[in-house]
Amino acid sequence: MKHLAETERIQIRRFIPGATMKRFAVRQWLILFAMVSLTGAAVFGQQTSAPPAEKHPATQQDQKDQKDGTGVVPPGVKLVPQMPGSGAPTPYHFPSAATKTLPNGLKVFVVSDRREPSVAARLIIFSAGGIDDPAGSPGVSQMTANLLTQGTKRRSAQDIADAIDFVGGQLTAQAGKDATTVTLNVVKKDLNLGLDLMSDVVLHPAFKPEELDRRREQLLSSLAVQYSNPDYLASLTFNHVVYSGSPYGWPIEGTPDTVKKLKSEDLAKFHDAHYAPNQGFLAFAGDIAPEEAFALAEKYFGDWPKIDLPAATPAVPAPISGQHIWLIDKPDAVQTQIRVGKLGVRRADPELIPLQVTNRIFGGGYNSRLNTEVRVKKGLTYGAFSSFTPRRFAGSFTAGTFTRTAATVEATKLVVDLMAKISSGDITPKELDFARDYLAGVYPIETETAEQVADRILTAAAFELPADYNSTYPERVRSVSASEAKTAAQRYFTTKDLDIVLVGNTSQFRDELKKEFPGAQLTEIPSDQLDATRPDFRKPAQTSGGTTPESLARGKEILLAGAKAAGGDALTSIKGIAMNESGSMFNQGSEAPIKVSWLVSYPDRSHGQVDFQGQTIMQVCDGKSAWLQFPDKVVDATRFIAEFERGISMFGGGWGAYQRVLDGKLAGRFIGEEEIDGKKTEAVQLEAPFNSVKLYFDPTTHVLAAAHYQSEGQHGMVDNDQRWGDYRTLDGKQFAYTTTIYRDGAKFLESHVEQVNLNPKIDESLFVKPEAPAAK
Amino acid sequence: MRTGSRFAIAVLFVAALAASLAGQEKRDKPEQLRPPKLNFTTHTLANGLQVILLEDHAAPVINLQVWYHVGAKDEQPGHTGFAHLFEHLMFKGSAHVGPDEHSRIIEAAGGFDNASTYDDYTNFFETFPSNYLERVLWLEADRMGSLNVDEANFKSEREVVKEERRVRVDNQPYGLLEEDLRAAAFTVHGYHHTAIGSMVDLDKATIEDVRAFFNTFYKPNNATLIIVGDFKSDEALGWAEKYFEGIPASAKPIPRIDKSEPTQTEERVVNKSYSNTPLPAAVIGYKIPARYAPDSYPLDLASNILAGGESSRLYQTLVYKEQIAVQAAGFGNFTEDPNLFWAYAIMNQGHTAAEGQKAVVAVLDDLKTKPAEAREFDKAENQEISGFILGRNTDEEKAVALGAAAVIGKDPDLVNTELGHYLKLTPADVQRAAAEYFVPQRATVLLVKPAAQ
Repeated sequence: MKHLAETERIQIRRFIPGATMKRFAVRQWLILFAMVSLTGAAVFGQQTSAPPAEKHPATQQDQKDQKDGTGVVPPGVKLVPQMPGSGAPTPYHFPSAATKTLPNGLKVFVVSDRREPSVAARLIIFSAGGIDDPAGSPGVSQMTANLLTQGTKRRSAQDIADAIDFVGGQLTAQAGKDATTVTLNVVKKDLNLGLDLMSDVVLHPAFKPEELDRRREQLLSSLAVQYSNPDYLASLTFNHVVYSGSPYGWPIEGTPDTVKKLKSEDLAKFHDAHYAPNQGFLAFAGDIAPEEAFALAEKYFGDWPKIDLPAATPAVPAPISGQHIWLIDKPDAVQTQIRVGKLGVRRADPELIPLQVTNRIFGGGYNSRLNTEVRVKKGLTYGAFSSFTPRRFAGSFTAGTFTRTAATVEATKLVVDLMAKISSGDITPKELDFARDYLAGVYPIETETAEQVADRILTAAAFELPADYNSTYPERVRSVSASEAKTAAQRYFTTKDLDIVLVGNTSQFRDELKKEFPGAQLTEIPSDQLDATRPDFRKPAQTSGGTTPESLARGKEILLAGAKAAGGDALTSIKGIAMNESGSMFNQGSEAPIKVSWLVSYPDRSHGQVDFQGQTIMQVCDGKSAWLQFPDKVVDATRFIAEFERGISMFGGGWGAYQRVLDGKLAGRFIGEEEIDGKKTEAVQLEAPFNSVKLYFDPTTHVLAAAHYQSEGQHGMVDNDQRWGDYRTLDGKQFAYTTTIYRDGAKFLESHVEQVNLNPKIDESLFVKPEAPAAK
Repeated sequence: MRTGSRFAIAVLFVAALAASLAGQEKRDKPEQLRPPKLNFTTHTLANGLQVILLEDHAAPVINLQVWYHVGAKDEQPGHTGFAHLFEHLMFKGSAHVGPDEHSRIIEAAGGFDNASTYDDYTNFFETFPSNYLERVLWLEADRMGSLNVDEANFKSEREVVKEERRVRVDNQPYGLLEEDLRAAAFTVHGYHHTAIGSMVDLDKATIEDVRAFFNTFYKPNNATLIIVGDFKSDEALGWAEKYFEGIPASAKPIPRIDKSEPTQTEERVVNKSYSNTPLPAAVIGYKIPARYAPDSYPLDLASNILAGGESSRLYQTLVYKEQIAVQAAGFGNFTEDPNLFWAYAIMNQGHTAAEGQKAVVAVLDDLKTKPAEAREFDKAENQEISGFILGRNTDEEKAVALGAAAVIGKDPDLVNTELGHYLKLTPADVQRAAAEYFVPQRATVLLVKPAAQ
């Protein structure tokens, strides 16, 4: 491949798509897998918005100076030396669409093209984008979209897959920053079947927990791969820093932590609140007449109830000041991914068109200044590109490239210097002509298929662009004046305020970089420490680091306040607890009742009799060893003794832990405030022996609200989030009567205490490990 | 019109029954949907250049392609990556066109261009407003007749290609996987290596190699010109003659490396560990016949059954039900000479590559032991039909289909006849092909373990 096509850049980023595996995607993936077969061609630096054109001033083109080659024609070869002119352009008009609005507000567009017996239907829901994700939970809109096809009220995931696969069609749903898009591609005869499926998945998705668990597992695996992919990490970081403080900066797919926490209720709630026909735009493209399409739209989407939506007002990102370099260290990288940029303009900003012209000159194509200097002249990269990404409420400008580790600083400097150069407004008339001719001329090509035309029409409608936006685009591109291009360059390409993101083996270029950018603020984060949900983009410090006298003092204060709220010194008089709990265990969406009778003997012994699914199992810890006692066998569980011990310390809302704190045997350090279930908490990370445990305290009542810890699950370590509630006074102390455990984000156990006895008589025989299986 | 779920079930049942009956009959029913025929014409110029023309006047757009029948498999040992490096150099100037001017002229017209190198061929293509056809033909003829690259351009472009290798292979999760599988599967055939080549070989290439390669392979008698879109055929043919006929055919026949791969006799297993691959993977490559060979069709239908959508067997078994893999699929890499059928699984965390291999093989074995049910077989055929329709929307897609049929299949009419080969098949054909090809003595297994951090 001569140069890196835009579509391919995206594909590389999505190396392992994870979410869906449709037939055509399989083939595409083959291409990626068999990457060096280098297939699939497309436009380099294709604009996110549509460049159209009406008439081509071909006659001027002929006169353009032809730069001579070598003039050396091999012996025996006859060539025509003079470049031929062009013919008269075929008149071209942007195809018109028939439109209609349904009573529920859904706007329908039809672009008829009867060449191929196929139809595409595309639905954009403009109120269900990534910017509508709840604060702190990126990934909700995307998971909601991905689960649409995974089961409805009357169809299972398998039914849906089989129905669409049977006709060789495709039905996909994806969330973007501003909207969720659902697309159907079928041959004409299967249109009814396809629309029936499409409407069912949009209107009646089931969000079954077991389907969420499947997708979650897939997505977590994909993210594990993506977090090894420098290109992905560069985009993740760039969005975070440029759109700082705005939902546009959140990763649409979520982060490993937020994905683990997604619950099917969150998705149902998002769907109910955001899937609104009155913010919906449905286009039909292909072998279909308008009247037929309108009737089908009414039939399949007419019953979709309107929703009263509050006006969308996402936080708008604030521009930065000064140059800020973000180094993401990936010591195994052989090449550095480079992104340089800043905020740009909204989609509806009229200045976008002059900016597209200026960007075309700067970095929008193979022959741009950026690619010419960084690739063609210096051989530093395979591709250098820039683009404006205009979104509904904000936008960004990105210049990017990648180069071998040793050339990182040279390439970065070159990108920044080229921006500075164009920001002086120095643009030649020839460059301006070249950019305008391309953007206006390429328009018929980029609207070659009905589906492409429909996309332009949907974009114009959804973003409320002027009614003649598409049909006049080429004229307006051609009318961009030298002074408009100059103004655009001066306003958006300055390098005083700039974010620079470098993902690579930073130890090889860090010092040189500091020398070249002496005024820049520099932040470095190891690639395995990124957390896109945190303002500092970094995971909270672990036990090994971040322990300071201050954090320990504050931790002690919080733990003592918790102990005091629970009963203070009187807790130390509690030698044991006997209690009966009942509740439910959850697995893959099914729920089963569970009962446990506990005998706790502080500090380190416990005996639980578990009744679950008709079986009685004892789980016992004698302080030195642990075991599970089944009716017919005894299984040693000593390797889980730390988990038993943690459980003992947590009963009733942490009584065992408080005893240790009051005895001076347990400490923790304050790690910050965190919001849990919408409420502020103060978090303490415990020191040995509960190193990995974080406790979250209610700052008002000081009682323990939640804990986070890891434990061993069926397939390796799992994250547990435990909650306590229903605190009641018991013998003058505060005892939590309910607890819920989420395992890797999914509800795992929910239980409440039916009866408690304090300081019961301890039957010592319960803590004697049976020699042989309990005989039967 | 649906009135209730019971009725819906009845409708589905009737549909399934109808489908199964259709499966038993045979499938040349007149009502069965077929892709529109591509009404192209073919011509051969005096110098051997093959020309294929397909008019479509719906949009004022043309896609033009020049396919040279030379690819990575034609490279000599120690010269891997050369066909691809050469592809880049075709943009670096000729007698009447300066370095990188080719692309600049196309862009100025409002068009775009690119090229790609495969195992068997290299294609150069442009999509542009239709009134520029004559100019684009002139551009392609000039570089076919007189490519002339200077030393500085050659050296800098070689660095570009090395960056291309880094971004696609060395710095990419699983980027080395295909190289390692092929290297183990092929011992003598050119498919042993991939088109990007090795850094060592790239560094060895000289400008003399460039000239020799050009003089050997970039000849009109080794090329096919395909034009699809808004033009008049007689005018296009006249221009093709005007600009290309001054370039003589090669005096000698185009050399071919005749090294067929010896028959494999036992399963090969390779264990690998890469630094940037956090999930284990199992990839099995089975030796299969070439593209357009009779057995390629049932194997392609097998691919639909194995990996055609989320209802396919590999997805349902490994990803959906067992949940041991994040991705699982199977597809044939059908090329001019026999290549590999890839069956693979990328495992979820906590599952091993060996587990993936076992599960993939079990699914393939099932395909060998009993024929697919009628509905599943019909699904595979429907996917083939719709693939032919949905995959030929643009001028470029049509041009690529014509190029493959002409250059690899030696018969451009395959674009219209190929689907018939699929629709003749029965479930038993697929079962037989699976049983013949999905066997250990054809298999090379690559087991990928994440590297220890």
